[in-house]
Amino acid sequence: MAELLIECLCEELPYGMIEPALKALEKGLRELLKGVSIGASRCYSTPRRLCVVIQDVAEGRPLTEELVTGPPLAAAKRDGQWTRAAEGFAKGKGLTVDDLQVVEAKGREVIAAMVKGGGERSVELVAAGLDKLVMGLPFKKSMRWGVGEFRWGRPLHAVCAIYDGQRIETTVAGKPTTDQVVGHRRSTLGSFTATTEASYLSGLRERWVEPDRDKRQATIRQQLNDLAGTQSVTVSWDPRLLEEVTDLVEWPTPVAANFDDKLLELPSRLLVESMRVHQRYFPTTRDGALTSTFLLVSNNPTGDAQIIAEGNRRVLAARFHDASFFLAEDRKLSLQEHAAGLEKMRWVRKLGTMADKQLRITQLAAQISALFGADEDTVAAAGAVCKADLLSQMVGEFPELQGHMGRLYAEHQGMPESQAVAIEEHYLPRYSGDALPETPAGRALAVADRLDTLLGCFSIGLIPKGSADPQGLRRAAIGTNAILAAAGPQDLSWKALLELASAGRDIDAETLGKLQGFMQARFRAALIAEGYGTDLVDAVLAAEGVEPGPAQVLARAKALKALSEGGEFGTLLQALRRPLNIAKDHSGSALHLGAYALPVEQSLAEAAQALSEAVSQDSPAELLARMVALKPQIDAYFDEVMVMADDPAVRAQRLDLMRFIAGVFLTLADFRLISTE
Amino acid sequence: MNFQDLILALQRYWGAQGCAVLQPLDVEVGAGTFHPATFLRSLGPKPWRCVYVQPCRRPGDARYGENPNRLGHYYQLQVLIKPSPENIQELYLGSLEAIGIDLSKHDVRFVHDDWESPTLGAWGLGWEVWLDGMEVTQYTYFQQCGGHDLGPISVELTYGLERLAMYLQKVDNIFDLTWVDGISYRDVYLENEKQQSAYNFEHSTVESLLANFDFAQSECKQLAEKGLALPAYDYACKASHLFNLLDARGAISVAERAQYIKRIRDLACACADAYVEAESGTESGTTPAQQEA
Repeated sequence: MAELLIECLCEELPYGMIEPALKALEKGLRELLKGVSIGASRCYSTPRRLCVVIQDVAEGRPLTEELVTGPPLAAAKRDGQWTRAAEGFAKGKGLTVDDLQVVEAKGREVIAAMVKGGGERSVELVAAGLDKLVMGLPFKKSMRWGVGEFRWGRPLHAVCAIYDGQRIETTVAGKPTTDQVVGHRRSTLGSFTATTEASYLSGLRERWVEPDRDKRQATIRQQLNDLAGTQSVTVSWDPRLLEEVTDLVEWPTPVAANFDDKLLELPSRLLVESMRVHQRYFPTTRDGALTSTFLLVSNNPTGDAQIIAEGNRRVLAARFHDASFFLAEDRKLSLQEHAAGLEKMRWVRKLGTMADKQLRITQLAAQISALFGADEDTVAAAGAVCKADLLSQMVGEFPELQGHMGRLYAEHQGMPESQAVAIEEHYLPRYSGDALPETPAGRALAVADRLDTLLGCFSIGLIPKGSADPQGLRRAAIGTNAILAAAGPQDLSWKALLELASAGRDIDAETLGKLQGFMQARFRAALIAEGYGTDLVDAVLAAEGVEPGPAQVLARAKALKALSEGGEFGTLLQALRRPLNIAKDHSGSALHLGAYALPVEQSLAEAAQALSEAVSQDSPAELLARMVALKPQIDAYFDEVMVMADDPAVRAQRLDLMRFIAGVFLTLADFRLISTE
Repeated sequence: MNFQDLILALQRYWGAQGCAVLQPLDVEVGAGTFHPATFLRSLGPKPWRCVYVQPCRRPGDARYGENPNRLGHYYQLQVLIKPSPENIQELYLGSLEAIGIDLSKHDVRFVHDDWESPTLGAWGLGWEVWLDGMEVTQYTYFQQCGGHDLGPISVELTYGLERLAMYLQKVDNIFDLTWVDGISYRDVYLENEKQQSAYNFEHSTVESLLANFDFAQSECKQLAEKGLALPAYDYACKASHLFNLLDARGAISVAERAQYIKRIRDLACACADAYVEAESGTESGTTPAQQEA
């Protein structure tokens, strides 16, 4: 039993590209050795190498013997002589007629041959398939280099391929494989010959490479915790950052550094994001508060910690210096004064400046503030400066802080907290799945901002086509829907919302209709993305007699989904579809209480009346429960009543009832569209 | 190491690697990549190696000389080698040693950073190189330029000279850099930053800039159509700089920006097309202009 070791040495692969390629290498090697008895495999990786070891690899595929039957004997031998058919059969199996035998199959004699197979040597299987496997590893984005004939995640330098202690003789990317392994760039030990997993690991570790990713990560965690301990601070861990840093170093070496305490007056979000996102540092806290100590993981085992700390400190200092200058400058003006500059900021051609937009947002927010129970004065005051921070130098430099700076500046100048929060919240949600505004004024402004964008762009024909959406209209629609579904009035329809919001604007009914369809389509897509069945969502959107709106569509979809997850959904659906199926072409819809010939008709009509009265009061879940409760009555009705009676008057009376019930059902969903699979 | 020695040392190092030591392009550009020795020479099959300093103008980044880390005019040192050598990472690390950085003491990291220039129709993959956390070089394998898929592949190394010098000289303000004994960066460039900032943000004439942009665009187009890629490309660079001036002046709305960038990209791509065609033409002994005549 031997060991197989494959290492790809390359230039630094980006974080996120290592894992998928490594898994594919492991899977691919196991597939190359299909049929060979193999043991466990282990994966190693650093930014510069992908390595897979498979243990207990047998020498090759086992030999096999299989009796393969051929043509009937009658056709294979004539007059004691083998026929062409027999010769062909033998040749096809790599044998001669002398190897043929006669066996009985399905009650008659046929010729057969014992065919030997297997025996392919493992080393040859790998040698034959390695180039294709390695060059086909998946990378999110691949590149070419040098003369440009090969494509990989980053330039591939060498492939070390070892089987049973020996180099596997083959080529990858036009180069012979090697048995040499190089260490860390700073190691002076030179390359070494890998023969086994153990020698590979120990050789690398002597050369400052920890190829075991889990071990490297555990080391980083331990090192940083220890280092933080010596500074009496606590590491502010970020799991994603730890993953990334693990894939940025071959030999983690922790360093602690400090920035000037005075910079702690900067917004902590700015400090933390600069450290984490831009510099891959770990911030630290003491008693829950951010400190000026930060930790980093260097890749140089011989590095001078003081020099490295100083260099990194200077990077942050330069970054933060700008920020503190901006903070001081920005605070010299009030948000109202900053907002004056919005007049010079163009928004979208034909839709005026940012000042115009801010004014429209404020007006629109006033029109819709009652929908969210928002205080009008709060909405007006926050709205009047909601875009003002765009003129601040801080947001100019750190656009990701828009809204947040507005809030901090509002607080700084003593505006009430509810206004300050609304300024920040009006940007929410920034992307699908982001947090939603939590205060009424924040919701009113957030919806007003998005509706202003949608109404404005639609009114001048800027409607997204294909994947292009420069004004972010899809995002605006998704955000509006999300806020309304979560916190808008239950019965608010898109139509009513748009009528309310477009009052006083120059936009025609046809365009409003298009916008309504656009918003509805985004909501449909969002629900499907959240896991609601397409059929179910379409059934809800096909409801009749009720104007669709985000909150109630969501509630109806939720109710149906809950029902669909219980048992008996299929038979329930069948019952609920029957009235509409039979009366779909009937134009009347009425109850004729007291005039029915059969008790079962009368009782169903009474139940239908009660149900129709509940439509305006019950929640969709309650309403659906009432509909479900009608199932026995519907079934009984169809058992006893012949709807399509010969007498036209009776038939019309019955169809009127069916259409009436169907009409009530349709206010919830068109059950015919739901799949019963 | 003073500022001019830094430049000389890098030029000498890359010159010794066989790179032609070139001089800057004499048209205003925002980055060393715009130099035809990079943009145009990365196209086509011919091998190429060069190093040069390129003054870069980024009008929007100007700060009246009041910001210690930011300039509207600064220098990049650019290396372009086609095809990219197998040992280019080692060569690059060697260049850091050549400017006195003891790699055994510092932390050098290749941090993923893909590069894309929407105005040049170009993109590449590579890293920003960190020296103790500071980005000192942009390191890119060009994949596409002027809309053309490339092959052989060029590697581009762009050193931010001021930043590197600040690190070497341990100063926190660009203007404190020593250019040569007795002359500081302040002496050379502070007044320029002040005046250019005033021009960029307050005194440029928007209507003229817009008209000049239109002229640069039409000139570039008509030259490119005649196969005169090199003069056409000068005008593509001019158009790009005029756009930057307009942008700094706040004369271009968010919605218009994308259209302007596309207009410039179309010019760059037209130049690239003409250049590639001329390159294949020169192999048969005539230039497109001669063919036309």
